[in-house]
Amino acid sequence: MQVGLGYRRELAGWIASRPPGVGCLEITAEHFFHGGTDRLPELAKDFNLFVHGLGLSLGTPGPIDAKTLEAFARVVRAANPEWISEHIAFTRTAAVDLGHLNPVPPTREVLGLVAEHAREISAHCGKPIILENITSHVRLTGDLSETDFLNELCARADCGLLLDVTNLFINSRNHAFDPLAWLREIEPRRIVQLHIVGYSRAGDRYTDSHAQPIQEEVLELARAVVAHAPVQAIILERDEDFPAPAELEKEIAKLGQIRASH
Amino acid sequence: MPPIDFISALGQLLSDGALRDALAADPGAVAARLNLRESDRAALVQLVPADLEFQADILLRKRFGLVRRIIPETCRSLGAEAWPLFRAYARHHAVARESSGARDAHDFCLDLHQHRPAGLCQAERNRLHFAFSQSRFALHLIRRRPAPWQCPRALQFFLRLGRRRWREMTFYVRA
Repeated sequence: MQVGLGYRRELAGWIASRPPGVGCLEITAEHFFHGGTDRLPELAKDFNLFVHGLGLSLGTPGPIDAKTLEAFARVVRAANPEWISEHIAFTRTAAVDLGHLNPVPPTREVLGLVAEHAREISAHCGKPIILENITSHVRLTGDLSETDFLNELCARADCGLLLDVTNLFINSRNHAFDPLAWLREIEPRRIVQLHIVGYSRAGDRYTDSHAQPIQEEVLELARAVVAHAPVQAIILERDEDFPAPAELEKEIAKLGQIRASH
Repeated sequence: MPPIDFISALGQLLSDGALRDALAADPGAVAARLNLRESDRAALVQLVPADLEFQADILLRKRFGLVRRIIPETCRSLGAEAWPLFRAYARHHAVARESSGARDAHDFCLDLHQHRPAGLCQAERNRLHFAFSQSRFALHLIRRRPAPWQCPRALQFFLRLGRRRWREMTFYVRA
């Protein structure tokens, strides 16, 4: 299992020093839509790269936005990653741009839509794709449970799952379910990669601000996932309130310990 | 107008605070108003208004994060009021497709100009106004709340070089 982190401009200097324990980087495609792709082949010399999307909006009915898909593919061509990833979510509709990830209902109709979009992206980029679970404060119902939806989606799209451990933890707290029972319902072979970061609290709600160090209960859940599935990579996904390099190295070391224990 | 699907309806709800208020009062009426497909109406009625509001707030926070980067002086000047003022504006101003953070910041400045003009940084407001205008050039005298070593007045000059390219120059005026 590879251990790495999400590449962010704020961390570029530290990453250039080839910090101990970091074997791979996840590139957010949108951060390179307006330039900077020339840096990616250089990064690829030192790290395995994965390309992650935020805005392809797989859950939006209708065709994928052609311009966004081509911009995403340009980043993929520059990074030549082992695999690419996107969220099981929608960020826009025909009428509005919501600017961030929103949940889709677990229905057979949506499953068909997301699977078709995932296949199209994978074919366009010539890379395997994995899909990520998101946090949602709205609980949507459909004709499938969330876990059946994910298993069937992976089968229909012929793809893997990017399991965001923190998102699973947050959803389990906000919607009062057992994350381990949820995990046992997911086909282990589908889980390819993990995301992890600390959660935040806003009143009685848990949120994913990507601004906190990983809490012990999230690490505990990550250990359970790694025991359950043949995970190939785990990515620390910090976006705000970046700590000192020494703190990040400690977090990376904790992820390395998870790898070592399996 | 053909009936819309659940995801399109959810998108409208998450971008429109007044529509969320209406849903909390009468979900059936909102389903009818949106012309939601019959098969999706049960899912819409099951939405919990407080959850929907929280999800919408997460989106507004993301928008605010972008806007804050574009008009940092205005947000600094508004201090703790910046977020509630932005929320009050954004709750009723959806971001249209193909729009941008700069357009959102521009519209927020227009809203502040009406409701809280003292909090607006003139230089930032002028910049956004010029960016979305067709003008070839513009000249503004701006008054600033300067640090002790700074000039309190400046001339802000904009010159358009192309459809999306322009230059800004500021000349500080000594009293």
